[in-house]
Formats: sequence, C-alpha cells, structure tokens
Amino acid sequence: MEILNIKRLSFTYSGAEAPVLKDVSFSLAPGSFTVLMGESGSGKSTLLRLIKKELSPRGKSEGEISLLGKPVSELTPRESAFAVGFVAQLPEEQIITDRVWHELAFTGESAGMEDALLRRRVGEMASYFGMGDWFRKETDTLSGGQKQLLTLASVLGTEPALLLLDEPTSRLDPVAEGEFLSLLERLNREMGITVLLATHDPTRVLGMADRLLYLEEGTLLYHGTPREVCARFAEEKLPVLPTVARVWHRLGKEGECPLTLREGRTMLADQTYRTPPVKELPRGETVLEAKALCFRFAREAAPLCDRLSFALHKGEHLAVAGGNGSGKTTLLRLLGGFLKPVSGKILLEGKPLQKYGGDLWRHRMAYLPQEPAALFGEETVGAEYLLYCKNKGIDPAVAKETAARLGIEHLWERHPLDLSGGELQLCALGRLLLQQPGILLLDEPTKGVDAFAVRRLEAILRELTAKGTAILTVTHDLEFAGRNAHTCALLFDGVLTEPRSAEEFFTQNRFYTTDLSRMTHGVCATEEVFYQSIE
Amino acid sequence: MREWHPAVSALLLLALLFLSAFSTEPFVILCSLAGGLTFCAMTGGAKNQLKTTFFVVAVFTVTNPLFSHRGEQVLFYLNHNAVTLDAVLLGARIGGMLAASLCWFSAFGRVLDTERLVYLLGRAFPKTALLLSSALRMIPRASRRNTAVKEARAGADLGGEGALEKLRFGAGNLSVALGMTLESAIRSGNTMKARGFGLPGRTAYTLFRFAPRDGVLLGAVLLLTVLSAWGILREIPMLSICFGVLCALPSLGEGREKLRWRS
Repeated sequence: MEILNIKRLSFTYSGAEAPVLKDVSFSLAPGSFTVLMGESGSGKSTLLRLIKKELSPRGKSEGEISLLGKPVSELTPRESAFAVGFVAQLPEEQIITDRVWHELAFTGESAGMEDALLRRRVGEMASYFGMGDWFRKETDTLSGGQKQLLTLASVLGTEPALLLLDEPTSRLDPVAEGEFLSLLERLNREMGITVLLATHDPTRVLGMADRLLYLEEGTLLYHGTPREVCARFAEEKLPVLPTVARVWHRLGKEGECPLTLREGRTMLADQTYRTPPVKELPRGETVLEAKALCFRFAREAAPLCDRLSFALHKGEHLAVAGGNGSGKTTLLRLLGGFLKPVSGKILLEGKPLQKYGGDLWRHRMAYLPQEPAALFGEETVGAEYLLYCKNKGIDPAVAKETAARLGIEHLWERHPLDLSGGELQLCALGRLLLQQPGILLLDEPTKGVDAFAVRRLEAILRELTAKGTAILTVTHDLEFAGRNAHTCALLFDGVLTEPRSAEEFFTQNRFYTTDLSRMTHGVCATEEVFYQSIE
Repeated sequence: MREWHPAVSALLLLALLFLSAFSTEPFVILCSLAGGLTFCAMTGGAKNQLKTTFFVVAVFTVTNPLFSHRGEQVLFYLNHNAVTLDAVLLGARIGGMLAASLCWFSAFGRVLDTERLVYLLGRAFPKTALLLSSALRMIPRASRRNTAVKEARAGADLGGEGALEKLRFGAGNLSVALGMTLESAIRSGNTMKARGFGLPGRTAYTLFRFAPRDGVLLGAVLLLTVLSAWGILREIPMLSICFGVLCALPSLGEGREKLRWRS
C-alpha cells in the first residue's frame, strides 16, 4: 500500500481566481525518498500543506489526497497530527518552547505518552541526533543548523510514517546543510521513514533521491528518477541543474547524466585543459577602505575583527566567504556604521565615516540585510518606493523605471510580507537602488532564493558593477560567488585574507570552493573559465 | 539547594519570606537576616545583599522617628518635635524586617530559575506554563528583530536628522517589527497545531523527580513552618526557635552540596 496517493488534485486559494495546483497526481511508496522541485510560487508549499491537514490553506480543492489508504479529510485529528511530520523553512519559527528538552518532548506530550515511554523516546532522540551537549540549553542559543535538527527530531517523537520538508536547508550554511541532509538520509535508510522534500537547490539531494518531481505553475511537469528528470531539465531548465549535470549537458551528454560530484570527477577524468586568458580585475579608485579594524562584542569575547584591512574599488564585486560565526555579518554591520569598531578606521571615498556628519553618507552605501522584509514599512512595494522618492525629492517616474529595470512591476501593488524570498530580495534591491548608491553591501543575497530568481539578481548586479557600483557580498553560496565576484576573500579568526581573483581563490581552495573546482581537481573553478579552457 | 526538588525549595523560601515579612520581633528578624545573608553569601551575592540591608535599615531608622513621635525616652528635639528612642528602634526593626524579606526574595530568584518556575507552574496550570515558556522564547527574538529592523531601515536611508524625523523613523521601525512579530506568532501557532497541541490527554515531560529525601525534607519544612508560624503569632519563645532552624535550612542544604563537590 502506498503511504501517500494524490489523484488529480487541483487547488485554488479562497479569493484567488487562478488555481495554484492543477491536476497533480503522484504517489509515494513506503520508505521512498522523493524530491519536489520548482521555482518559488510554483505551488510546492501549497502541495505539502494540503497533505498536512492542520496546515492546509483555505480554498477550494478538487481531487483526492489519501494518506495510508484513507482520505486526508477523514483522518482523525490524532492521526493527522502524528502520522505526518512537517518541517518548514524558517528554523526560528518552528521552535515553540524555550528549552531543547521541552521541544523534544512537545510532540510526545501532545500525544499523551506515558512518562516512561516519553522519557525513553526523548532520550533516544537526543542520543541519535547527538544532542547530549545541548539538551538542557535554551533554544535561543542554538545555531540555525542546530535549530533545524531540533525541529526534525521533535517531529519524529511520535513515529510519523511520512516526513514533509519544505525547503528545510535553504537558510542554512553548507556545513549545516550537509549535516541535516545526511541525517535525513539516515532516517530514510535506517528507519524507513518516507520523505517528501521540497527544495529549489537539488545539488546535494539528487544522490539520495529515488524520485524527482518538478512543479511548474502548479502543474507536475516532470516526474521520474533523478537521472531521467535531470536529462529533461538539460533541455529546458538549465539554471536549475546542479553544476555537474550542467557541465555534462554542455560537453555533449555522453553516457548517463552524473548526479554527484564523484560521478562528475569520473566524467572529467580524461579532460585536458589549456590556460584561459587572464581576466582583468577592476582596479579603479578605492571607494571603501577598512584600516586595521578591531572589533569584539565584549572585552573577554573572541575578536571578530583583528586589525582587519581591505580596499574595495569602483566597479568591483568582492565576495567574502567564511564559516558560521566567523563574523561576516558583523563585518557588514561595522562597514554600514551600525556597530562602532573598537579601533581602526572605515573610509568612504577616502573620508572617515564619522567625518561626514550624522547620516549624510547613508544614501551612498546601501545595505541589503539577510531579512529584507525588515526594510519595508509600507503596505505595498510601490508605496515604499514612492515614499522614498517623496522624502528625498526624487521624481516618482524614477521609481517606476527602476521597478521596470528589475522586472518587478507586477509586484508593485503587493504586500511585502506576501512575496517569496526571491521576489522580496529583488524588490528590496530596487528600493536601495533609488538611493543611487556607490556601494552595495549584500548579506547572503541568495539565501532562500530559487535558481531563476538568483539568475535575475545576478544579471542586475553585473549591470551595476559594469556602471561602476562597488559591491561587497558576504555569502555562504560559493557557486554564486564563483559566477559573479571579481575578487574573493576568506574571513577567519578576525582576519580577512587578501582579496584575489575569484578564479585564483577557488582553484587554490580545497574545502571552501566551487563544485567545478572539486570536479577538476583545482584546475578550473568557474564555468566561464572552464568552457574557455576546454574548447 | 539546587539538588532539591523545586517544590521543596519553593515552599521553604516562600515560608521564610512570609514569616519574615509578618514579624518585627528582634529575635525573628535577627535569625532571618543571619540565615538569609549567609545563604546569599554562599550563592555569591553577599556584597549586594549586605549593601541593600544596610541601606534599608538605615533609611527606616532615620525616617521613622521623623514621622512617629511617640515613646517615653526623648533623645532630642528637632524643629520642636521629639525624636524618641522607641521610634528609632521601631524604625530599625521595620527596616530589618524589610531587609530580611528582600534577602529571601533574592534567594528565591537565585534558586528557582525559569526552568524550575515553569515546572512548578506547569504542575498547577499546564497551559499557562507553556504560554510562559513560549513567551520566554519570544523576548530575545523580539529584541533581535528590533535591531535588525532599525539597521535595515537605516541602511535603506530611511532615517533622518532632526527630532521629528527621528520620531517618525522610530515609529516606522516599531510598526514593521510588530508586523513581523505577528506574522511569526501565526506561524508558531501553526507549528503547535501541527504537532498535536490541543488534543485531549496531554502529558508532561519533567526534568525533576521527587526523591524520598525530598519527602523527608518537605515534611520537615512543613512541620517547622507551622510551628514557627504559631510561635511567632502567639509569641511563644520556645517555638520561635523552630524559626531559627528554618532560617538555617537553606544554608545547611547549600553547605552540604558545597562540601560534597568541594574536591
């Protein structure tokens, strides 16, 4: 018997005209690992939420969803709550209580487990997930990766037959993502829990998946094994493909489509390379400079900046990589003038920040935070743009033009909190561009953004640097850095290494590097150079 | 005392707090202050607590005679008002009573951290305790969110110069942060529902278990509390000694744990 069976499901949100899901049918075999892909807004979340009754959105649905042989609508509240475990995107918002142990016990408590069983189950889970050390900690002190592991552990307490995960790793750094996914794979292999995982970045999960589903505008476009679907993608959806498969496609698609880096290495084993032409780096005037910056949060705390220096030039895109807690965001907050350095100087166009007088320099250096929703105070995106224009005496036509340039006119009347991650990122960027900043500080601009939206963002950033805007990005997304940054540097132990060209940085790096550098054993790091040096 | 069951420590400290707050008997005050200060010293708060004690006692000793002029032995006249020895002593006693209560109050806060409080509350009112637990989680998140909103909006050049602009900026930040908080509260509520919150027959996982030793302690604390309450109310000196023992209990308990973990 199938765990989940969906027959001709269509769904329309109440108040909306067009359906978000159209005639979707598929089923999940017990113990299978299925990956559900699709752009933001393709209906992935809606589909997952319709399976979990408690989270189902309001609207009109047709067709049938049956779980364990029973229509979802006929499940008792108890069955529905405990047979399906749900893990969503934001680690912050799925943790209910203030202590780790309480969170682990929560689901079991709801199920009314007797004390001995509950105690054993909580103990089992804490041991299996390696939570012994943080069992009594406050949930607030955990890292994002730990929070997401905790959420996963806490839904497992009542032995769900099916796990639904809605982009669970899109807010995690690569190390935490790897840890989370390998645990998920273990749960699937060892415990036989059926997994349905929605994601827009399939790179790390293709090797684990049995089946791949691809939703586009509510329709199930592809459905098959990862190899089959990736081969289809190559024809129509190139940006979605992981680097390995994209390279396979460009090289003429010999043999089976590779899914993992290991298979990619085998594919490129006999490849010979010639030296590509060296790309010139933008070395115009220095627009932003840090001189011997020192910073720590408390006297005894570890230094996050220790005589840190660097220079950013006109038209340069500098990407700063670094592990969790290495102080990447802190560096941006220092540069943005939100934190005061203990010592050292920040020079904006050659003049120290504090000499500008108040906030007069603000418009020249725009800051895009990790959660761009925080900068929208108005009801609609358009109102926010127009408000800024009014305050600063800018012609409102400029706002419209900017929106058109970024391709977000259709979002003009939307509420910022209703936008997807990618849409929000673009809208926030557009709003910042109204300042006509010479410098852009970006904090993880690709976090939670789907492949197509990332490409749109990249095109805009490239256009900006070509016109002379300097960009400083801190990111975990090394593929993004490889594709876009002119120069890269690593932040570690309070020191920023000297920025080098992206190609040099990634071919020399062994651990903090792009997939392509790993596949070619450090010969080429970026696709652009790769294709130049093999043809 | 951290090894005791929270119910026992709570009962003992509350008994001490209330008994100290209802008696101006010098013997009771002295016992209470001695016990309380010793305990505070053992748990690492002696300096602050001593300061508070001296301050409170001094303030009442000085101010009481200014308002109360009754008493036989007049010390001197101030603005034609008699300052009497009785009034000074009564002030010192009231000050001592307050200082002792404060002392136990601080001891209560030191022993019963949020985890123990939520546990105790959860026994009586499970829903309220859960609410408290999630509220405790909201506070640090809200403050982080406020900073994030302020910085995001300043970075977007929405701040301005001048009082009016700053006020408008602050109000805008508050409204954004509030909106985000509401949004996240809705999501948290959904998560609770998804994990079966609200189904009948909820049980509770607890970190604390009631050991036989806790039973003995609880009995002793109850007995001593009743006897000292009686002793204090009826002014029976023999029974007041029970109060002395009660005052020494927290320090004894703490001392025993300290000894055990010394090496």
